[in-house]
Amino acid sequence: MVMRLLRALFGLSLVFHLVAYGECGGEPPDDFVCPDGTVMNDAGHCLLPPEDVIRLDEEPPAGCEDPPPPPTPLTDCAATFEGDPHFETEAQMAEFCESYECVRGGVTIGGTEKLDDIEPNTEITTLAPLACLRTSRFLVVTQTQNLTHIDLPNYEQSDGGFNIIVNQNIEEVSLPALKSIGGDLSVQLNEELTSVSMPVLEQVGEFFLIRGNPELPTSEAWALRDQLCPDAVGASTTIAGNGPN
Amino acid sequence: MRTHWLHLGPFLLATLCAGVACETGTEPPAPLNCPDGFAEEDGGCVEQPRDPLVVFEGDLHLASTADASNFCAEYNAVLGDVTMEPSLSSVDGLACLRQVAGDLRIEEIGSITEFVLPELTWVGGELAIQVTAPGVDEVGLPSLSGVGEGLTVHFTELKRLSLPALQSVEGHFSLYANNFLSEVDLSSLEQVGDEELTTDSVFYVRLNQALTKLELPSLRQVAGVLKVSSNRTMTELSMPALERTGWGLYISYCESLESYTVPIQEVGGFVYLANSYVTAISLPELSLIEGDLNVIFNNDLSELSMDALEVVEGNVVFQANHSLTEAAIDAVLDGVEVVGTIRREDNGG
Repeated sequence: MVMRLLRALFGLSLVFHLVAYGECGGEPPDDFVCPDGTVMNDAGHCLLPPEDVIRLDEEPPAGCEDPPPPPTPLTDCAATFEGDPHFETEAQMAEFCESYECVRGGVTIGGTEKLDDIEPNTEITTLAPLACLRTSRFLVVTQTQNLTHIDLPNYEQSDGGFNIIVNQNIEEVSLPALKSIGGDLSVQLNEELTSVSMPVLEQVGEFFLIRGNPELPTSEAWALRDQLCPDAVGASTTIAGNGPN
Repeated sequence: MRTHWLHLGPFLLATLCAGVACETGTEPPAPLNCPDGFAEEDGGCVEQPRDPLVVFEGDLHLASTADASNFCAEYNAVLGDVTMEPSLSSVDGLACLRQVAGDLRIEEIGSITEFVLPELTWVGGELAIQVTAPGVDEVGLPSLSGVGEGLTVHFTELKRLSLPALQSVEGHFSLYANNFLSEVDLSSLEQVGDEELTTDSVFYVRLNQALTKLELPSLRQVAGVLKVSSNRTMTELSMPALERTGWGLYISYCESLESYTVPIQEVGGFVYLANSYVTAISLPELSLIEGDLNVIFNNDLSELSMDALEVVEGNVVFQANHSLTEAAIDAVLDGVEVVGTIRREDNGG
């Protein structure tokens, strides 16, 4: 008897749920009309108009009214190397500068890529022999162990990225002529880095990343970003994990 | 046999109800399941008026949960920036926050494990979700419908990003270098950049190494470049509503992607397609490319469909597509007006 009662209650409960939420419940009547000031959405619900949003009324800084035009490749190079040079020694750099000053492809300096790893570079202590370099499709300095300064006094433009990543002892980066970077500016994971100077840098085409450099004052990273117009970075700015101000 | 009655009984009763009681209106109307913020009125769900915005004028710095609670005791919007200190252990007390006119920077929040702002609908400046410290698996902004200046998600440890109500980002949108991100809900996103298609609003989905699926079911327009690149495990790319990009379409180096179809009609800049293992690409409605068409380094590509293509205003490059026959390239370019040059090198025989 008790079981029959329980079964009956269970059955009635199911009926209630079917009535309440099943095919014959839970829908507005066919002649339902939304109240004035609301609009029906696809689900048949009446929505209020979207809330007005609040905005800061900020004018761009002087000289930043228009975004900078995209850079065009340099056309006044005396001699252009057509490939993707990789420099592991200062002698290679010196040899390059005897014949060229621009690179159509990308430049990599430092560690040598192996099958599944990068072998750190201990040979390079200075980039002075590469002082001739003016432009490249991209430039990467990575996995150097004895390089303390990145100083490329004539480097004006990277058509793609400019990356200084995972260098054990680099303390200073100085690019006094660098005006534009077409891709990412990425300065990441350089344990001893204390200073980044790019005084004429005007634009970064994609991401502006200065991250994970524990000795670099955060204020210096922001000073470099603020030297560019707000719209002069094509994608996002990430300044995080650097040192205290 | 009793067991059968147990199952059949409710079915019969429900059928009776559906066939008789509901149609004749002899039963009271069934209650509606109205969403939160709605109330039943005259048999329908009607959104209820919201509390007015109470705007804090200035920047809001949150160093503790008490700071958050104190803010919510009086305000629900900020006419300035919102920043959070590493000492903030929870954002539960910030549940009231509805709008931020300036930047909302979710950075350096190592002690927070769950980041959900249920009421946030608008960030006018930069919404930056970029955290270096581990701890947060999920960021959920279920009501966020719009972002002004830009949206960045660059978050090493993040696994799930839920922005289901986001419809537009006026500036750029960068989903970038999230090593563990595997679930993304951008189901309502329609537009990146403005309606005039000014070209500086890019949408980048790059270097998300655990993102196997990217679904953008509502995306119609990107004002600048749309770049889906270097997502090494991505096997599914779905953008069924995409009509136009203002400055370029770039799908490259997603080395697990085997095929994709995008119904885009016009590209304001260049098209760059380069995925080593893709076998089939279909852009069936693409009629105009205002820049270059580059189809390069698609080693396994054997089927390329651009049946509606009429004009390429720049150059055309087909290079190093070792499985794409010259006849297939001929078919793609048949009847297409190419304003620049055509270069075909190292493709299939």
